[in-house]
Amino acid sequence: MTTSVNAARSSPADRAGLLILLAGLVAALLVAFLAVRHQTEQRATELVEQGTRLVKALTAIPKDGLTPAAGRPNPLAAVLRAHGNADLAYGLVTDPQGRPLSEVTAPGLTPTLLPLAADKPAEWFGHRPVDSGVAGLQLVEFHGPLLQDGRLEGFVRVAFREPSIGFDSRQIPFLAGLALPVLLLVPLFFFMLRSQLRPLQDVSRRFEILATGSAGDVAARDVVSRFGRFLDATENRILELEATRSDAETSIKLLGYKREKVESALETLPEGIMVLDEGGVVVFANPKVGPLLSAAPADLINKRPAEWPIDPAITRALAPLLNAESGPSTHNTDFHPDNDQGRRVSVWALPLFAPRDTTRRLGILVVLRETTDQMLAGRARDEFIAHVAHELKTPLSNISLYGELLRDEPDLAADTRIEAINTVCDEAQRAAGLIANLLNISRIEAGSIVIDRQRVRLGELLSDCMDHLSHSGSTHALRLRVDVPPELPPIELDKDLLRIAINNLLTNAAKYNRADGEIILAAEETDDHIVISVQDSGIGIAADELPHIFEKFYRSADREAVSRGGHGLGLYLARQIVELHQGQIEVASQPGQGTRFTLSFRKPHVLLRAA
Amino acid sequence: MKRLLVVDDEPHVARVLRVSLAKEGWAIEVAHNGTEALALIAANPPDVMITDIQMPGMGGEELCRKLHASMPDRPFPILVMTSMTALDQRNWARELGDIEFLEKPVSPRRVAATLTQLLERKNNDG
Repeated sequence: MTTSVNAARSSPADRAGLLILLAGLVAALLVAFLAVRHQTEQRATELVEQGTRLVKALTAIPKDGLTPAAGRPNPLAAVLRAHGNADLAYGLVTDPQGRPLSEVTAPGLTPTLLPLAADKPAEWFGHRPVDSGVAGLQLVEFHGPLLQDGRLEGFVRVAFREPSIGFDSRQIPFLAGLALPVLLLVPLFFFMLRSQLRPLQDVSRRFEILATGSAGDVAARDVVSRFGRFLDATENRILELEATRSDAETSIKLLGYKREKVESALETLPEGIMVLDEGGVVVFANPKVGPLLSAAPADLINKRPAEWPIDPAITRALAPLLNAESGPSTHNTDFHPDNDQGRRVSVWALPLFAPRDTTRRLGILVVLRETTDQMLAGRARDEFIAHVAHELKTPLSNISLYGELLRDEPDLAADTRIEAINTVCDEAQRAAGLIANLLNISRIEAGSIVIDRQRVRLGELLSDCMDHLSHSGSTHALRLRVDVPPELPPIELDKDLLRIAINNLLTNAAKYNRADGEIILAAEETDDHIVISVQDSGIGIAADELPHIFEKFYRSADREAVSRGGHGLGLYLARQIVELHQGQIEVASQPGQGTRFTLSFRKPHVLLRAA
Repeated sequence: MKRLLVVDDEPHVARVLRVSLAKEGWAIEVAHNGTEALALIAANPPDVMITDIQMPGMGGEELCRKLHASMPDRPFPILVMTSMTALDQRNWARELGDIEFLEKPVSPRRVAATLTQLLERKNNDG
C-alpha cells in the first residue's frame, strides 16, 4: 500500500523530469534546424552572386570566343570547367533567337530551355528558376546578352542546381558542438533541481501521511503540531507588529496634527510665549515676544537670558523669573519697554514639570503681556477716587467748619450766623448733588443705563425744572423765564435723564449769575432739530476754558467762579446724557455778559412717530 | 497783631477762620491759589501760612517748593489743610521740612491750637 502510494505520488515529479528532457531535445533540434536553415540561405545567396559574376564574365568575351571552331576545343566548356563549380547544370551560348551555338550540360540532365525576349533589353540580365527534367531537382539559370558594338549577338545562359535544405557534412562537428552542451546541461539542471526539491517533497509527503492518518508516528505529529503552533504564533506576531506599526503611524500623524494645532494656537495668542529648557535656553518663542522685548524671536532661540540682544535693564528685571537652576523665585514682574514709563509689560514665569513625573522640572514657561491699558486704567481709577474723595470732603469740611463755628461761637453776629446756616444747607445740597451726579455718571460709563424714551412735552418739563430751581433758594433776585412755543410737538426722550442735564445747567446758570441777573430756559423747533437752550447773564467763561468745561472734574481757574463752588461733574454729566440721545451740547459765552448752552436733538431721533 | 495767610480756593475756610480767630488776635489775609500767595508773601511775609493742596492754577505743593527754593530760611511755618487723605501725597512735605498737616474737615478750635503751637515753636527756634 505504502509503495503504491509512493509510486503514485512520485510520478508527477518524474513526468516533470521527462518533460524537461524532452524540452532539452526540442531545444537542441531547434538549434540544429536554425543552423541548417541559415546555412542553406547563405548558400543560395552565394549561388546568386557566383552565377551573376560568371555570366558577367562570360558576356565580356566576344561571341566568337565562346563558340566552337574547327581545330580547337569548345571554349565554353573550358571556361566552365575552369570555374570548377560541382553544381553547374549547364552552360549555353545562343543566338538572339535562342538557337544554341555552344552548349555544355552536366550528365543526366535534360533542362527545359526557356526563351529570352530579344526585344526586351530589361530582361536580358537576370536569373530565374528552370526545370531540370529530373524529379526533385530545381535549377537556377543566370543569363546575360552578348553584345557587339551595341548590337545583340546572342545570350549566355548558365544554370546551377538550386541549394537544398540539408546537412553540410562539414558542419556536423559544429552542430554537434552546439547541441552537446544543451543536451548535457538540461539533465544536469534537472538533477540539481530534483535534489533541491527532495526535502520539500519529503515534508510534503510527511504531511500527507499525517493528513491521511495512515502513520502512527506520534513524534512526527508532535513536531508538526509544534511547528504549526510556531507558524501560528509567528503569523500572529507579524499581525501584531503590523497593527502596532499602523497604530504608530496613526499616532505620529495625530501628533503632527496636534503639534501644528498647538503651534498655531501659541502663535495666535495675544501674549508673548517663551519656553526655556532645564538649562535656561530658549527653545520656543512666538512672534508676539518680538515687540514686547524689542528683539526678533529668532535671535532669542538657543540662547540664555544673559545672551539675549535686549535692554540689559529688562534682563535684570527678568533675572529672578528665569533662573534656570533654582527655577522662578517669583512668578510675576513688570518692566517698561524701551524705558518708556507710559508703557508696561507684565511677565509671568511658570515652572514646567514632566507630565508623568512632577518632580522632574523640564524648564520654564514665560508669558509676556502688554499691560499698558491696565496700568493707565489703574492710574485713572486712582485719580478718580482721589478726585471724588476730595470733592466730597470739601462740602463736608465746610459743613463741619460752619457747624463748629455755630456751636463754639454763641455770640456770633446775626448776619454771620445766617451765612453759616445758609452755607451748611448749600454745602449739604452740593454734596448730595455730587453723589447723585457720580452715581449717574457711573451708570452711564458702565453702560448699565437704559434710555427710557417717553412722550415729553418740553413746555411742561422745562417749567418743572425752572420751578425746581426757584424753590432751591439759590435764585434770590434772579429773573427766570421759560420760553417754549405752544406749537412745539411732543418729543421722545428719557425724561428723568433730560431733567438731570437741564437741572445741572440751571444750577450753574444760577450759581454763576449776577445778583440781579436773568435765566432764560427756551426750546424751539428748527428745520432739522429740536433745540433747548439755557442762557444766563452771569460772569461768563473765558475763551481758553470753553474747550475744557465738559471734561470730568474740570474746574475753572477764574477766581470768581472758584469762589462760587462747583465740583466739575455737572457739565460732564449733561454732555453724557445729551450724547446718549444722539444729541449735541454746545456753549457760547462772553465773559462778563453771560453764557448760553444749547442742546440739539435731530428730529428723526426725538420726534414721535406718527401713530 | 499776628498775621495769618490762608491760601484756599474754597472761600469758606477763610471766612470761618476770620470769625473764629479774630478774638485770638489773628489778622487774616486770603489768597485763592499759589500765585496770589507768592505775591502777598513777597510783599509782606505772614507769621503763619495755611494752604490747601489742590487748587486751580498753582497748588499747595508747588507753592511750598517755590518758597523752599526762594526762601531757604523761611521765616514762617506752614500748615497744610487738605481733603487729600492719601499719606503718600505728604512725602514731598518731609523733604521740605517745617510743614504741618491738618486733614479736613477740621474744627476752628483745632486750627487755633495748632497755629499757637507753630508760633511758639517758631519763637523758640528764633
